[in-house]
Amino acid sequence: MNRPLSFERFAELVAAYGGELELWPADERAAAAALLETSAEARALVAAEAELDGALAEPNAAPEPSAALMRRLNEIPVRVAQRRVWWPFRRAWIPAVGWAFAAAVGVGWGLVGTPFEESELTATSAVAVGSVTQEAPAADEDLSALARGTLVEFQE
Amino acid sequence: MPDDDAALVLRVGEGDVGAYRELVRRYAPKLSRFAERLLRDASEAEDVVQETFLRLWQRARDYTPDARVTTWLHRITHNLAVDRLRARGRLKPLPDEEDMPISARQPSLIDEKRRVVALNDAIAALPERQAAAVTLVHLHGLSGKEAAEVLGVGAEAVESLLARARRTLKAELVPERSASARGAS
Repeated sequence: MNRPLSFERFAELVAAYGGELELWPADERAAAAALLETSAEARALVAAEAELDGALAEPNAAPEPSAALMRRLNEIPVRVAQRRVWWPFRRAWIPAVGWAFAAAVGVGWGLVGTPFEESELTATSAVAVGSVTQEAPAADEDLSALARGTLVEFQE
Repeated sequence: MPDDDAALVLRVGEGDVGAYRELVRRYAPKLSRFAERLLRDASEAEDVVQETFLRLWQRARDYTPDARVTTWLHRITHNLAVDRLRARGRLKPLPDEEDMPISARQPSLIDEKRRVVALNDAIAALPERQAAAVTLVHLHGLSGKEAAEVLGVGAEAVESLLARARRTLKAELVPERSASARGAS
């Protein structure tokens, strides 16, 4: 159900758009039509605009532009390349940027943050130090020997 | 035709020259008239229309069906014309806009063609924004909301522009029409 239109608002709309309701804002037309049915004053306002409405409604096609302009317009595709499209997915850049930002935050968090408890980190460090100072397990013997050999070469 | 227009713009975005030329055929006359109403200079208006269609050709991919094609193209034309008016220092702020006097015209205009000429003369003599608002709503079929979008103002401002324009046009044209009717009878 549309809200009723005040006479003042009706008068404003007549002054702006004239008496042809199809030119009026769509959400006010029904209420305007209802007021027109009941108000002689409203009908008088519309009648006073009828002559100007008639003048404005007469066939009034825009004149054809000059032949020179039409030629220039039609030559545009021949003379000017369209803007190069390197991203053909229109607005898809919006979610793409969102995902890239999320990924960047994730990587940054991984680099800066401490993923383990401090005690776990200490234990892990101890294991790492032990792996250097202690005898390497048999499975890693070749690698350990290679590392030691390289170190010896550097010391020379 | 609006949906059809949107389809044409999408085809222009794919490089379809035929679609581009169809949009030129449909909109070059309206945009020329609109630009001329704003600029009061046929040569500058032609340059603005050319720039509008250059943008259509180059940026058709940017078009989104949020706005009708007619609104989109009129808005581009309006913005380009306003840039030129600003460069000339001719654009007045909206509240300071004053009605300009309308030149005297020959009475006894009987036939429809001459009445249309008189109407177009009267509209052309209005201040730029009023002329633009009347052209958009009464001649080019845009809604008040669409005209507001093109002109970059609120709906109330458009209603004010239209009301002032209609008041001037009525004073100029309606006595003339009555005289024409009397002359014809």
